[in-house]
Order: sequence, then C-alpha cells, then structure tokens
Amino acid sequence: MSASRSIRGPWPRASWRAFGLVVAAAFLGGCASHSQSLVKVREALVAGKPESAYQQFAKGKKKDQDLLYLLERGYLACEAGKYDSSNIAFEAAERRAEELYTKSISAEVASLAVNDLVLPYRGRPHELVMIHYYRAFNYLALGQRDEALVEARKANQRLTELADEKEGKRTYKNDAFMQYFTAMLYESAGEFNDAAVAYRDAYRAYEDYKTLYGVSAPPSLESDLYAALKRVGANNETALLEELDPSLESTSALRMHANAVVFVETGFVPYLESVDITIPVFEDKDSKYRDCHDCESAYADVLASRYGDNIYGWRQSNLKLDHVLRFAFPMMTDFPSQAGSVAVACSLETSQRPVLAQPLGAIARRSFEEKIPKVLLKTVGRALVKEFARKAAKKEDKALGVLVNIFGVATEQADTRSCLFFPQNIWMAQLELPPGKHALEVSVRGPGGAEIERLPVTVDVPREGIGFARIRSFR
Amino acid sequence: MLGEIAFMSEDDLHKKRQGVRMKRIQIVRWVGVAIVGAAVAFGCASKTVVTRVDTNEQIDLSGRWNDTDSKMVSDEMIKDCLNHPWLSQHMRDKSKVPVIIVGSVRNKSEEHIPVATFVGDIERAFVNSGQVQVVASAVEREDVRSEKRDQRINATEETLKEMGHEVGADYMLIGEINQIIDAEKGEKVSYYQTDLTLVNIETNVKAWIGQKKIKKYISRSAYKP
Repeated sequence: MSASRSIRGPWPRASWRAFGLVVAAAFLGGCASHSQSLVKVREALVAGKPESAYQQFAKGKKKDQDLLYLLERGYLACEAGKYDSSNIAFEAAERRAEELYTKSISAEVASLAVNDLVLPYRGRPHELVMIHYYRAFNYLALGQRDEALVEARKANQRLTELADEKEGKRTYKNDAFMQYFTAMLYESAGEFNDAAVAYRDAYRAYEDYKTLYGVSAPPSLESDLYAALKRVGANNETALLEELDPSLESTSALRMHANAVVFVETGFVPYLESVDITIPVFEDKDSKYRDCHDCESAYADVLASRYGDNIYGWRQSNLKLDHVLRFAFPMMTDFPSQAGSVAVACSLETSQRPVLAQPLGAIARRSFEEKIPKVLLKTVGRALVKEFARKAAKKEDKALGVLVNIFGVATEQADTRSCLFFPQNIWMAQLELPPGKHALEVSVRGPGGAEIERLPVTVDVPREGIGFARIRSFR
Repeated sequence: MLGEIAFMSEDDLHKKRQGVRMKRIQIVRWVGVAIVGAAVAFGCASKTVVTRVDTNEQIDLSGRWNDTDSKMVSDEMIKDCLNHPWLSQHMRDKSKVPVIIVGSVRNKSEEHIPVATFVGDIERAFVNSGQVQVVASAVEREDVRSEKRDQRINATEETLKEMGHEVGADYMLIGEINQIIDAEKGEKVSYYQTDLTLVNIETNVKAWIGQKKIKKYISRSAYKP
C-alpha cells in the first residue's frame, strides 16, 4: 500500500479526480452568462437611470473588437443622451460586423473543441438593423437631418442585402418597421421617390410580419403608401390599392397632415441563459454481465441491489467516478414586461393610442428558435470530440485522461451572448401638430389598463416635414 | 497491480519510478503546450503599431469614401471648373477676378462623408489656383462679424476694422454626392458621383456644371486561416 502511494503521489487517484472536478466547477462558477454579467446595468435602466447605467457599463473592461460590447455601448450612450459617443460606438460596431464577414477557420475548429465563445459575436440581423434606428435618432437629436437620412439609406441597403441572402426562406429577411421609419424620414426630407419605395417595402414586409410574428401593419401605412405613390405618379399601383379599399383617397388626404411621429419603446428583448447538463460516468464494472447472453436476471439483481428505487444510490455504492460528460447550450428567457399598451397625450390633441409597429422581442425569439437545431447539433458534436480526446488521452495515461476531461468540462459553456438592452416592442403614434416644440406625455399601461408609468417626451415639429421623437420605458 | 509492485526488486522499482516521472514530465509539457497554444490562438497579444505616412499616399482600408477621394475629386473638379469659358467671360465682362462662395454640398450617399473636409478641399483648390477669390461661408462670416463688433469696443482706432466692407460673392458653388451600391455576399461595387454647380448669384444662371465619378470594387474573402 505504501509502495503504491509513493508511485501515485501523496493523494489517491480518487482525490485527484475530485480535485479536478472542484477546479472545473470553480472555473465554471467564475463564468457568468452575458445577462448575469450586466445585471447592475439593467437594474440601473429599470430604475430609470440611463446615465448611471452607461457609467456602470463604461466602468467594465473596454472591448473595442467585440461587436456585442460596441452595440451595447452604443445603445446605452444613446439612452444617456451622449449622441456623439453613441454614434462612435455604433460606427465601430458596423465596421466590426463588416470585418466579421470573413470567418476564421481556426476559430471555427477551436469552437468544436472548446466552446462557441471562442468565436467572435457576429450579431443577429435585427440587432444590426436597429443600429440605424438609434443612429438616425442620434443625428436627429444633434440637428443633423441629412446624416439621419444617411442612416435611412444604410438601413435600406442592409435590408436589401439581407433579402438577397435569405431569399425564399420564411424568416426575418426584411424589417417592416425600419422600412416604414425610413420612408417617413425620406418623406420628411422631400425625397418622395425613395419614400414611395420604402413605403412599398414596408407594406410588403408587414405581410410577412403577420405570418411570422402575428403583427399587422399599422393602419396608417396603407394611406401613407397610397399618398406617396400618388405623389410620384404611380397610378397603376394607386388604382390597385383603391380596388382593395375605396375609401383610401379620402383617408390618405386626411393623413397628409400628420407631421409628428412618436415611437414608444417598452420592455426588454428576451435574453439567453445557459442550460447545463452534467452526467457522471462511473468505472464500468458491469461489462461481464452485458457481454453475457444468459445473465440478464443476474444483472438485474445487481442493479436492483445497487440502486433500488433511489437514483442517487450510486453515492452509497462503491462505484468510482470515471469521467464527467457535460453539455451546455443556450435557452431564451423572457424578461417580464409590465407594459401592455401605451397612450400619447398632448394638450393640443386628444390622446393617441399608438400601435405596435416593431415586435423586436418576437423577432429575437424566432431568430433564436431557427438557430436551435444547429446549436444542439454542434453541442453534441463538441461533446463527441471531447470524449474522443479524453479516451485517446486516457489510453496514453490515465492522469492525462483526467486532465483532458477536466479541460473539457471546464470549457463547456453555452454561448449566451445577445444584445440585452433593446426593447421588446416599439409602438408608433402619429399626430398632427403645429410647427414648434411640443411637450407630450406618454402613459405606459399594464395588461389591465392601469397606468404604470408616465413619461415626458418632446417633439420638435419642423415647418416642413415630420418631427420625430422616441422614448423608452424599461417597465 | 499493487501486489506486482510490492514484489518488485529495488532496481525494477527505481526504473518504474523513472518511467512514471518521465510520463509526468511529458504530461506537464503537453499541458504547457496547450496553454501557450490557447493563449496564442485566442489573441492575448495584440500590439498597436503607428507609422507616419505621406499625406498624399493613397491608402484604402475599408473601401469607404476617404481623404484620397475627397482630395482627388475636389482637385480635378476645380481644375475642370477653372478651365471653362465662364472664367474668361467674367474677366472680359467685369475686368476683375470672380469672387466665389462655396455653399452647401449635400451628402446623399450611404456613408457619413465629412462634407466640411470636402468643402475645405474645394476652397483650397480654388484659392491655390490664384484665378478666383473665395469669401467666407455664412457660419465663418458670423464669427468674423462678431470679432469686428468686439473690435469696436476693445481695439485701437488705427487697427479697428469697419463693418460693411465685405466683398460680395459673384458665384455660389453648390453640389451633392450620390452613391450607388451593388453588393452580393463578399463582393461590393461602390459608385460615387459628385455633382457641382456654379451659379451666378445675380442672375441664377448656371455658369458651370461638373461631374466626377469614382467606382470601387471591394471584396472580402469568406474564410481566413
């Protein structure tokens, strides 16, 4: 016994394994999911302190090459009223997203042996599209309407490329809300041809929204499209629309006066959590029973006496842990939102009930669900790679096998990265107001209709064109 | 296994120990190589390198509008502008060099082009040609007038600059930058068209229209090692 100890070292083998698992567990404990790592930032937002949320976020490690970091920094700076900083971060995010078009083969291979976190975050299509929404508002807040139009064109270009890429698929391949928003920006700048094209794209994209996310086009879109087509002389198309709705001519004439648009953003998009499955595998003492054709009843007796009806029976048995299998994959979780509807009130106008124009939470969820089969397949593939590596290492040396197993367990982590702070829903209200600055009040209501939050928002209506405003409720 | 070791001779036991030691050294080496490999693979070491380059050197990184485009377009367009008959006609009619103000150049592209830099390049090309005079823009004029107002209170009489002695421009240069993009997967063709128009302020007659086009092909590979 003493000789055996001197060869194996001061600890018995079982203790080495236990030590390894403790190290692996400690390693894993130190790796919080993306949402957990930003809990304080989100708490500051929920408390209605976006400036404090931005400061809290900026205190963390600067990651200028991380697209997710840049996206979140851009958003938080925008919310904190730091429009220039927000534009800088979003610009860097756009450039990083372009760079990431080129995939690294070595990183892809490494992700099969380690985890998906070794891959750079590429961003979801809807997250990249939202950059242009926030940047357009940054420029509007800075009084640079031409630059806001640049964002509109960039958004349309991105959506054109997305539509080409996803052609024929029933998925997020166009953003109806962004098309509508850009159409209004063009219209406001007097670029009526571009406006008509974008209104038309929005109209078509909302048909997809209805089937994909159960969200219909805002009632105002049809008359806006009609008016825009009429303005550019697209008579064939206006006639078709009139056939569908004979009252369009009169409603669009009335709608021509709407010159203020308020977007109310509520809630948070769903976030990703890690699902961890750890399976202990014990030293195989039962192979003699399994390889024997007439030993079924004897093997059943052995198993029954070992476990009985207690699945944790192995703890009392003399089984020795051989290795551990661990799987980790992401799961999408809703962030509970209290907002059921919103209303916009102005002293000059009766209260407006905004309509849901962008179901960002539903888009994020569907986009994730479409990815699940690929993620699960990769998780299983990675587990196989790790198991083969462990077996090969164990053949060389048992201790090496244990080390490889510890490495495999410790590095198995789900990719829980996603942009956390974007809203769950964006509602849109259109108003008719005289030129100048107007103080409005946004009332956020719970599912029962009771007001849960009242937010002030100012809209600056120009002499010509449309005034835009956005406000965020984190409830 | 235990029994086997218990009955080994001292010599065999020593050899066995040596073997186990060697194996352990091998394991430590493996782990070391893995750690170093991981550190290199996941890019722990990145260093910022700064090199000064000639400002005239053409460097294209992303394919977007850059300083080279701004300079090239302004130089070529102004050269074209000054080689057209409106200039000699003006000299013949007025017997003095024309005065130009560079108005707004609208960015209608899909990029945030720093228009102020482009306008600065145009003004530089005009002034350096020596064939025309350029007056300050509306924003710059406000600064200058504010300075003159300040001088009326604080400057000596001999150095005081009077109000109302400004030179009025004969022509205004206005324009826009448009862009057409065609992209498919990793390939992109970006086409910029800059249109500049010189308008006679008194008559609204367009004295010169210039156009400069730039076409860029940008490709990105889908994979890298």
